[in-house]
Amino acid sequence: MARSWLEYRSPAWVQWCPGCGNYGILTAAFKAFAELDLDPAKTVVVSGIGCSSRIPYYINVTGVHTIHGRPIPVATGIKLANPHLTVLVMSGDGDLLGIGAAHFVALGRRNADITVVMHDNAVYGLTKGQAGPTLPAWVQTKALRAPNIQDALNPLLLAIASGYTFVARAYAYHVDKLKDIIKEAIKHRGAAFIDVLQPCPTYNNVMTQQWYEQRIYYIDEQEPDYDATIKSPEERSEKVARAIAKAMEWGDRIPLGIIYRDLTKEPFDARIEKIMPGYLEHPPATRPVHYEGKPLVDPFKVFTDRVVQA
Amino acid sequence: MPENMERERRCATCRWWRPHFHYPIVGYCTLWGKITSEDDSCDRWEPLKVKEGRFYWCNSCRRRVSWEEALEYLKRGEALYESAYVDPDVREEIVGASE
Amino acid sequence: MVDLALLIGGPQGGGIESAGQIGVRALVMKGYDIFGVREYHSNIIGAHSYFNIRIRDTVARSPRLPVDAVVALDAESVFTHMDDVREGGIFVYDTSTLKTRVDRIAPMPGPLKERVKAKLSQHGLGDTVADAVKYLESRGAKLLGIDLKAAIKEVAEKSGRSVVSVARAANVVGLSAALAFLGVEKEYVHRAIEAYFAGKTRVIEPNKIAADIAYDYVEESYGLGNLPDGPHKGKVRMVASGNDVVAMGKVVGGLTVQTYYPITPAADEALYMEGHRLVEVREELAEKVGLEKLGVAVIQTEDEISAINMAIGAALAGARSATTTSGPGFALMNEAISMAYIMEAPVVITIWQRAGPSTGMATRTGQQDLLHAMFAGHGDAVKIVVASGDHEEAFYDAIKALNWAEKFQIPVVHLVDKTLAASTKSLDRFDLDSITIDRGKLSYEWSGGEYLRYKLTEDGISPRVPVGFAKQLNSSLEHTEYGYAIEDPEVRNAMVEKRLKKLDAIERGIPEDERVKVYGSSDADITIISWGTVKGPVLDAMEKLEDEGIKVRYVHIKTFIPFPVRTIDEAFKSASRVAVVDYNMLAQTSLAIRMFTGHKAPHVIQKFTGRALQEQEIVRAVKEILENNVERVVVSDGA
Repeated sequence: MARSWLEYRSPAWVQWCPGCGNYGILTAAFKAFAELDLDPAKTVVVSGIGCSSRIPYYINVTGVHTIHGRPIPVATGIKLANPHLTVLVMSGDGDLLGIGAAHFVALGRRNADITVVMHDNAVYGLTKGQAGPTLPAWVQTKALRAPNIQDALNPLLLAIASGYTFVARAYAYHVDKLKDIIKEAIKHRGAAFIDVLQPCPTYNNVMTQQWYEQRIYYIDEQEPDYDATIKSPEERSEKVARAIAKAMEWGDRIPLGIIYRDLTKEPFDARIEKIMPGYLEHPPATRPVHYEGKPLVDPFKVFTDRVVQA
Repeated sequence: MPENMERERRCATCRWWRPHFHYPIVGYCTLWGKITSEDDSCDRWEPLKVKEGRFYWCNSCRRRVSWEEALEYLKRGEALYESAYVDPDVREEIVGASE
Repeated sequence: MVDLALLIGGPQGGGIESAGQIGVRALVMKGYDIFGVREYHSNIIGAHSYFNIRIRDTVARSPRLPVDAVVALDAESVFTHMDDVREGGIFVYDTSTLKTRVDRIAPMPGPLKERVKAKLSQHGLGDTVADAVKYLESRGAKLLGIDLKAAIKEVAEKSGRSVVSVARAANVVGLSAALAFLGVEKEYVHRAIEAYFAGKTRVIEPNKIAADIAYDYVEESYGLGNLPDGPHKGKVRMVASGNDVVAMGKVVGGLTVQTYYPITPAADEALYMEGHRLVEVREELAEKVGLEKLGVAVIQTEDEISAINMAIGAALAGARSATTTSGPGFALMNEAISMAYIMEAPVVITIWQRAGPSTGMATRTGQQDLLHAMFAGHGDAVKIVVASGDHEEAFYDAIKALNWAEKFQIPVVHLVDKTLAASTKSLDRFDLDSITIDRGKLSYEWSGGEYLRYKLTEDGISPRVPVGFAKQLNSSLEHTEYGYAIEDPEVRNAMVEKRLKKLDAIERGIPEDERVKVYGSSDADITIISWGTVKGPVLDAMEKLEDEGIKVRYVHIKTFIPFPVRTIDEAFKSASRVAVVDYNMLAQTSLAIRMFTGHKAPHVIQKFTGRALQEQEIVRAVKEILENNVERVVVSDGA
């Protein structure tokens, strides 16, 4: 281990409430980055808007704090321009699955090599606790004026259906377990999604620490034979079905751990390399665009389909 | 399509013929596999038979019609066909879809 | 002087596109300058569309009506364009449509049918194509009826193909008839067919046969026309659309990432670029940069919100980055524009304006997004807004926009429109030596200790090291020099002042002659102020009016932010009369002028039909203003 995890802690004051699950996620990220010895310049944490989206200020790597719902496209643009960077999206359930759901789906379809860590507390904290997209129907937290009349969506199912090739669930207060999953997700070549269950002590008085801890269990501890890693395309239908069944578990028992992994799909950068050879070696971020200010391309030599000899 | 088209034995009234979508004065004969004009004819002529559940091309109204509508339209003397013939390279002729 | 116009009309997808492109190439090969504008419905196949081609021995830059030749091979085209041919011009039609009645043409809009019937009945005529032909004869047009049935069958038989592109054959017959009449030799049409369908031998032969049939028809009827070779003969030129040249400009300008979500009329720009995503490096520079081919990543996104955000992300990482869209897509980009501004991310947004409000008329033109572009972005967000008037400007402006974005680390909107997008122009070689690629304060190395992305500097522009090359924070929140979120009043003030200084840098860095171009002199009878594709019709109208003794000065605005305050102010003060051409309902250009200079335009010329502005409309409007002192002239030529 080349760096202490404390080196990843930024000097900024952390503004989260006491007891907030974000602290667990933050600490797990420090430790995961340290154990992977990530270069702070080449590691990029991109967030949207919400309590959890303040996280780029707190981690001493490169950070991009974007706008509500859009961290995935911004992160995709960064990764597209420079596929050699380690790119993470760390944002809330409202950001990723409410306002930003279209992008969440699109990232799966592209299988871009980005790790999405979703801080899932089922509420909109910064705007005073409105129902998030993962809050079940008819739950009425103290902050709500009326019971929630919109159903919760299942983030794991959506991730699997969208094409993410690494899908996991973790719990914010189990820092070491979460750290291991974050490490696996970063190492995975492709779109990785971690749904991190996270109590919001201020607004979500229903899905509390106690509520979660009575229900969660680790798949690798209780079902050591569970295997939903696709190593060849023939295994897909069977293992997807298994993963979906596991992802459907919710209520008295909530499974944690790696739910699904597909090692057979090529990531976005490899796909671009196929249609644009040379992309990985000279990606858009760094390939030459001029020589001493002069353009590198002569349109009459390149756009020959438009040239006419009069 | 000329209005006074008579139900005579020519391509324009034959079940094997597909009028050209853009220029229905000519069309494609599915039997002989070639472009013919609306008033060409041959001895393999057959009238259109409307079958239940199918869709047809109404050349005079320039749209696809259901078999129920087709029966009505036939009585009214509209020019009906099993389908229209669209050039294989039509995509290259559409602005916004070229290149 | 040669100044001709040719109109080919027909159903969308019915061969107009290739006939138009072949016609344009034949005329360019013959040595003429051309400008061809495409008008079409929001429809895949079947609705009426047409190509209006202007042919000149000087410079062709606008459509005009009436034209010298109309090719109308279906009944709808005959009725739609029966007033569009000049006296003595030729009108090509299909004799087998003669009995078709207006009311039997399903795709034709009802109100147009009523207008056609009323017009024909005023002349004591019925409502068939034969009646329209009589009407055309009474107007002094030369009619050339072609038996299209026979012609198509002849093409099919002679080319020995069981299946041919019927629509193409039909249109090449019609086009060739018009070109034969105008005096373009058959060899040019043959060469143009070969060039346009390069490599597709099975397509070339039937089309050449179609051309031959038409030339025979014309030779036997009116006789072949006689047209001298044009002045451009022997040159290597380009024939390209506005969509094409913006793509070319971006690629030449060093673009490395383009994102987009499909929208008319922007998609063709991205599609053309994607077709050229690997481009060869100029031979003399390949060794110097150590590369023979360069890639441009063109990415189709899930929506326009993603398109702009992805382009911003790419820009943060050091890509030269742009996105392309139209008004509705730009509306979705608003929030991210503001983020790009506070994050100081260099990104170019090309807006191909089309006719709104809302979905409006998606395939029609207008300049309705001027104020939208200028004011997009909440919370005091600023951007540069540059507008292009023609194909050449669009090419160079695309490069300038990329330069300005990186030099000033700010979003740049490049405003273009559907007229430009869908018009084809003959172009000479671009002046590569005049192009400089400027990446501003960009560096891929950092050794100065902690890197401050938002360092306070003299000119408000901070050293830029991309994400991945120095640890940094980029923030959409108000931030410190490093990038930490902060709401401290003094830091806030310092950052606002920093961004204000940057606006000063833009004021200083974009000189007046890049903001505006003036054509004609201040002693003119009238000064016209406008921008974008109004340029072509106004410059052409200037020549026509000059012939009639009316002197016009044209002030062509190139950038709205920064605004050419000095020139516009001077124009108002020195002009005897000022008219603003506003291609929109609100007179948005006039409002912008008033906002920046305080001058109120006394006369406004407007068009909202979504059809390209034409030379004769400006001629008429200017006379109306000079003779009758009319405040507002609305023009609406073109089917």
